Formats: sequence, C-alpha cells, structure tokens
Amino acid sequence: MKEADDISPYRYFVPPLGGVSPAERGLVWRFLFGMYPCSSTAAERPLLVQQMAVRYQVMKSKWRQSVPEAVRLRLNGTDAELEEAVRYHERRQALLQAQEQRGEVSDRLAFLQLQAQVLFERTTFDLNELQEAIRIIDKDVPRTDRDLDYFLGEGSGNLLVLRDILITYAAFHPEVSYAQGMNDLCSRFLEVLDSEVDTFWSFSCCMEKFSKDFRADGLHRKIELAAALLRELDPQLHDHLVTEGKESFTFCHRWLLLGFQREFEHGDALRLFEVLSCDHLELISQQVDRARHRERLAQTHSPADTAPAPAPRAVNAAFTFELFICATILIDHRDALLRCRDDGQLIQFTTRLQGTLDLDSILRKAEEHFYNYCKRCAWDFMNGGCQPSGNKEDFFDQLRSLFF
Amino acid sequence: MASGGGRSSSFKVVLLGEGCVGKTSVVLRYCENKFNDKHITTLQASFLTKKLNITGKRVNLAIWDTAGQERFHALGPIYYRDSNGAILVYDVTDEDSFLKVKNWVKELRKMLGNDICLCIVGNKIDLDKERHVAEEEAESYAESVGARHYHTSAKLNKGIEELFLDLCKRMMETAQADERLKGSGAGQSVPSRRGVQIVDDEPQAAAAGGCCSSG
Repeated sequence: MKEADDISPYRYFVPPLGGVSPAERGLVWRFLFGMYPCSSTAAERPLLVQQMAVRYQVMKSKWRQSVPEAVRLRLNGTDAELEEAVRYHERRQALLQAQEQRGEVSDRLAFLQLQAQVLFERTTFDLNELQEAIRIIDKDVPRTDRDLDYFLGEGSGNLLVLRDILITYAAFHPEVSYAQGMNDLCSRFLEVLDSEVDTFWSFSCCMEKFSKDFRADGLHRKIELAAALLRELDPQLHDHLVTEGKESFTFCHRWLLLGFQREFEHGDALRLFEVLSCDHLELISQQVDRARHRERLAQTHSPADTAPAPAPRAVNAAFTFELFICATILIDHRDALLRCRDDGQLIQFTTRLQGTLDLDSILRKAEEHFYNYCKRCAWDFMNGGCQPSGNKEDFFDQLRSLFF
Repeated sequence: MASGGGRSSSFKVVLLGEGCVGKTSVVLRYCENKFNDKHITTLQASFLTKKLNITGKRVNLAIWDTAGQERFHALGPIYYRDSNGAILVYDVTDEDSFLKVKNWVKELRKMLGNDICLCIVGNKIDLDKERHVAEEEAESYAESVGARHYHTSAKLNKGIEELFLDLCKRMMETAQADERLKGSGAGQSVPSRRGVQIVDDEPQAAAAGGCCSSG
C-alpha cells in the first residue's frame, strides 16, 4: 500500500510508547499523517504547502458560493463567549486579507490558483445534504472542549476555524460528510498544527483511515473486534461481558470512536493518539507481513513437509494496538467488571473511569498483552503446522527483531 | 422490573432527541441540580439514577441519556428497550429538532406499542423570543399520539421537576394497570418485558411473546 510505504520510515521517529515532545509534535504530525510525503525534500515542502493552501482556499470559497447563508455561524444571542469568538475570528480574517492584498501575486501563485479552479470546476454539492451537515456542525463546534488553552480568550476564534475546516471536509467528502466526534478529532489537529490549511489536509489524510469509524457499521465492527480480542486474552471476563442480556461492549463506544480522547488527561490523550497513529505495534505492519510471508515460504519449500499442514490459528491482523489498549483497561478492572450485572452498571463503570487511568502503565501492559498474543499464536502455529523444530527459533527471532 | 406490587418501584426512562437539544442538561439539572453552559457533545449513552418518594411509595428511576447523533441511530433500540418511559426532547428554537421527535414517536410506538409513557419536551424556553415551534402545534401533536407535552428550561430550572414527577405518576399507573390485568386475565399474561433489568429475565422470551400475542 502506498500510504504504508510512505509512513513506515517515519513511525520510528516517534519513540514506541513515549510520544514526541510537544515542541516537535507539529512537524512530526505533518509527516506522520501524510501531509508531507516522506520522500519530500526541505526545498519541495514550502512549494507543496503553497499548493495546498491555494487548493484549500478554492475549496472553501466553492462551498461558500453554494451556500452563502452559511458563510457565517448563526448566533442566537445566548452565548456571549461565542459571539466574542466570532469577532476575534473576523478581525483576524480581515488582517489576513489585507496582508494578502498588499502582496503581489506571483506567476506561480496565479498558476496554482488557476490549476485549483480547474480541478474543482466540476464539483457539485448536494445542497440539502450540505446544509444538514452545516446545521449539525454549527451545533457541535461550540460544544467542542473549549476549556483547552488553545480555545481560551482570543483563541476562541479558533472555533470558527474549526468550523470552516469541518464544513470544507464535509462538502468535499459527501460519502463521509460530518458526524459527531469528528469535531473532537479535528480540534486535536488544529491545536497541534495551529494552521487552518495544514489541519485540513492532515485531518483529511487521517480520515482516510478513520472515516469508517464514524459510520455505524464501521464502529460496530470495531466493537465486535474489541470483544473478540478480549475473548482471546481473558475468556472468562469476555463471557461475563457478552452474556446475561448485556449489549456486548456498547460501553466502549466512546473509547473506540475517539481513541480514548475523553478518558485521559489532555496531554496524555494526545500522546496516546500519536502512539496509536504511528502503527508501531501493529500486526498489519509490513515487517510483520513480510515475516509471515517468509514463514509461509519456508513452510511450503521445506523438504520435511510431507503432509499438508492443518490450518493453524493465524494471527488476527485486525486486532489493532488500540484494541489491545481497550482490552488492557478491561482486564485491569476485571474484578469491578465481574461485579457489574447489567448495561447500566457497565456504563457507570466507564463513566467513573474517566480521568483515573494511568497511561504509562496501560501502555506497558498493553504491549505485554500484544507480545503474549503474538507468542501464543506463534506456538499454536508451530504446534498445528507440524514444523521441523529448527524453524521455531527462526520465527521467534524474526518476531523479536520486528519490534526492537 | 416495574415492580408495582411492593413498596418500591423501579422504572427505566430514556431520553431521546436530536443533538444539542439539551438532553444531558435536562438530566443533569434533575439529578444533580447542575447546569453547564458549555457542555461538550454526548458521544455515548450515560446512565444516572434518582430516588424519589411519591405519596409514600419509593421510586427508583434509572435514567438513560443518549447521544443525539443520527449516524448511530441504530444503537437506539439498545437504550430504549425495556423502557417504561421515554422523554423526547426538542429545542423550541429549532423546527428540525421537532421533526426528529416525530420520527422517534413513530419508532417507539412501532417497537414498544402503547406500553411506554411518552413525554414530548420543548426545551430551552428561556429562548422564547427565538421560538420556531408553535406551542399549540406541539401540544396538539402530542395529544394526537397519546403523549404529554411539557415545556422546560434546564438553564432556568423550569418545568424539569414537574416533568419527571408527572412521568413517574403515569408510569406507576401503567404498572398498576398491568398488575391488575395480570391478576384478572389468567390466560393472557402480559409479557414482562418492561422495567429495569436487574433480574436476568430472558430477553429472548420477551421478544417471542411480543410477536405471538399480537393482541
């Protein structure tokens, strides 16, 4: 896969479970989420950014022309802070515009503008859909966590920037449009990158991977996988949670929709998002895939391999590290969970957990569960696959070398 | 179970409605007498309890506050299943949110029949000057579907207490009527599919009962 190719060298920039220092976070994220191609040079990147800026502006003005009544956020006079936010935002926009008008339009810029206009020339919007998306965005943007430093005081103007990004995204991705929770995800990018254009493109890249989580079936599948992984790691706890008339795992809904954003203290939540996004400990990583491929080749070419091997239990590559985190939190609280008798108690349990979790300890334990799971699958593979004993060591060596 | 017979009854109440109409605010005002102007979006259902005393009878309310997000509408049944009461909230300044209430009424009547006590609640009456849903229209609609209509402001703490008290009384009446029905008609027992499921009550049996005894 192209993206995997692009990202894989850079995931090593992020210390496996530690995250990067906040000062470098902006630059690292621009690579990590694919806004900057990893093959780009320092000379190319400013040009690339210019192109992205022009494209974004053309996209934004395109929907603004289609729904002129939605250019400004409608206010009902009850939220004084929000009204002030609009004023801050408009003042900043006016300043930017004045600066732009003073600057000369270079040939290159004129060319980029023309190119972008041609590119989006034929884009049409389903106006009903778009208006409905804007209606919900306008309700959700003020309900983004605005107690964060980034949105305080004059920073409240950034809520309006968030609004423009979300609408532009919804307009140009009608198949995804807008769903609750995307405001939280996008605000994470805006806070770290502090740039409307860069946030739009990084968020868009990120959504290529996450948009399915914002559809009911996608999230449902993820919740099912979380349950399946727990069955592997702690069958007793799993059985307790999915039987007795309980709706399996709906209490994990928010965890899995937002990558635990609301469960940890803000700094820790950002760090966890980074750790999860760098795909360091993922069973889908190319290295794991290659190791598995080599293993399969060795198996088929092995002269000792007389009988066809029975299908061994393979590693389920759909178990992402995020799901290991989920399972770890559950296993960590298994006694309390085993006492929960119905959905109500389970939901109360997840609510009480907010803000009490220790990220470092959870990451360490999740990593342990991850390796144990790999190891167990490998044993099953060896035992079931009638391999010559020489291979066993090989496989473990490969597995170990993948992560260290 | 909606145990009406003993000295204390337990009821399950679910809040439904579009995003940002004030579901969480109504519940928080009622259960904790708190109001937060800058509430963040509710992404997954939450659950609060409230104990009250109505004419000497203890009542335990289990209140489910749901997320208003359309995208996860499919999760609705999980939360309203076995509810004794539903509070369908709209924002009086937003006509679309009232249309969403109508959809919920249809769905609840279809799935749960007349066993569930419906409340239609126009919230945010502190913004009355911005009102976009006519009072008479909302009230006559509520009447036409066998629901009661209420006006509330979670911000000003108006109408919330009354809403829950009234709903509790209605749920108690329904539970008592059920009891009587159970006592009199020995042949046609009412499937006990309602109430807070503290006792493991075989949800499968409830579903089967519903489809066979379509009376």
